Amino acid sequence: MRLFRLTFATIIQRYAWGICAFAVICLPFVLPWISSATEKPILVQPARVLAAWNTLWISALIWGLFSAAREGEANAKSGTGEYFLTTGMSATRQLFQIWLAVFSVIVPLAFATLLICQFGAAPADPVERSLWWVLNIQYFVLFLLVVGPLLLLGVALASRFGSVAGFSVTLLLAIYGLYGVGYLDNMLKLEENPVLQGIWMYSPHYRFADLTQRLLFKSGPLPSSAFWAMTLYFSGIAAVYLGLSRLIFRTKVAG
Amino acid sequence: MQRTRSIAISTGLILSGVLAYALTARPLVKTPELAVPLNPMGINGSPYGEVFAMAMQSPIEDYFHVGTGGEVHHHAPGETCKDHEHDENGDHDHEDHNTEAKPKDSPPLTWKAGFRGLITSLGHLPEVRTNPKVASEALRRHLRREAENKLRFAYRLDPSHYANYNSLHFFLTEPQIGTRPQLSASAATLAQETIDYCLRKNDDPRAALTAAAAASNILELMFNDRHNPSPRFTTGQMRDVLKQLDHCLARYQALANYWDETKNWDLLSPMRIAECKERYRFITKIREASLITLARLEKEQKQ
Repeated sequence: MRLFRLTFATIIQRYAWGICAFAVICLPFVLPWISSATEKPILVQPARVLAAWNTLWISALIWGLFSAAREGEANAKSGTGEYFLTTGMSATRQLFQIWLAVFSVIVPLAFATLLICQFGAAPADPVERSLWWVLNIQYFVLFLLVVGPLLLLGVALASRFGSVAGFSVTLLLAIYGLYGVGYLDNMLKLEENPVLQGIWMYSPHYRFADLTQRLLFKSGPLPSSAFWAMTLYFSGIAAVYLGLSRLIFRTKVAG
Repeated sequence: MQRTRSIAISTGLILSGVLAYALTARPLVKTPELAVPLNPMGINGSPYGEVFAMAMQSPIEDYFHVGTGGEVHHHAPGETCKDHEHDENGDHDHEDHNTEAKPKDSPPLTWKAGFRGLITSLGHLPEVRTNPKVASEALRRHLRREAENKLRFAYRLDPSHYANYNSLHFFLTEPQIGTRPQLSASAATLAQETIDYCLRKNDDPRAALTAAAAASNILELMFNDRHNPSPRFTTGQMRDVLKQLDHCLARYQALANYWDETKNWDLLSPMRIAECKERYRFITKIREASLITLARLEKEQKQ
């Protein structure tokens, strides 16, 4: 796990994670003051839920994917990858260890959000409160299942095509999966098109993992069958990304 | 050899992943309970959306004017403007709007207010039409649709916002030249959706006031429909809408009393409270007038 330790130490040394940690912990308590919760105190908790999860999404998609891309590129460009290859560490192992280093920073951020949401915004009603835990944990799991594979793909793409490609492709993919598919669906409702319908159907629907609105409107946890179907769905996407990343990842610049 | 094995593993992973995700995609996508309305970052209808909706008041006026074929002009809040009138409830008088575009005599840049003024006037430049010919029908339609999208965007941020709802409503019912405003399907759906949304909210009396405004708008357009040779709405239907209006006003009263008890009004600025009272007074008067009109119509019907 030497490459993991090296990458993790590099990320920690740069302190940008500190900005994300600060935002994830503080914004849920600060942002409600610029919402209409100042006029209606009953809205403080929904405002906090929204601020907490949105900050986490933004941190993971901007900082997380950027870090993943930068580390992937640095490994190939600086010769670190080549060095570890000579010590007998295979390319897949290197990919995994770089990914794990970035993921290890994202997981505590997500966990902090989970705790803020659980203890800083839980409903007062005891029945609703017991459901709140389940929904929060479902959200936590689905969030990691979405972000984890994207980080992996970011590392792999950046090692071959550079950090700009690694970052932008994965970010666009995430935004497309979260919101783009919804807009495409609206367009398809206006005008049917079998080709676009097929593209839409087999696009990565990350929107399923965005449970913010369920938390906001206290809709309760996902039915367990739906949750397991989603887990399988995102695991399938993860397997595709893993296969692609293994093929794309390289430990040194060609030439 | 090892390379072939690695490629085989990757291919196997991709194939099994595609299988898992293709098998689960269809049932997930087709389950209506899992469908969530498209709402990036959950902003629409959220406490933040309500603040953004409030902040959008100034651009809304511009959108309205561009969309209805008027050239955009800017004036500070409270400043009077001879081209058109705004009443206190956001209603607009557009009868004297000139449909013919006029070339500007002088460039619209203002240096007087310093750098800030320059930046503001530069920002307005794309909307200034210097072509002496009137904008084509297609361009006007395009501008209208764009304006509608913007107004709808503001409305969606907070459907219970009184002014944003009314702006969109007036825009949708804004008559073509020489015709009366009509209760179009889109305006009726908008009003009904607004009423449903607002009555679900039990944290703010002002939402009930927006619902009441929506009901009074429906009623007003139903009365307008009476001028048509073959009216579409019966007095019974009007009575039902009036009942809905009463229900909204009663709900406003109940929530306002609750806010009196919990001292929630103290959290609002005096301006907002005055605005709220003014709107309540306005809708109450509309209601009284509607009652009289309805009685007259029912009388006419009996004769």
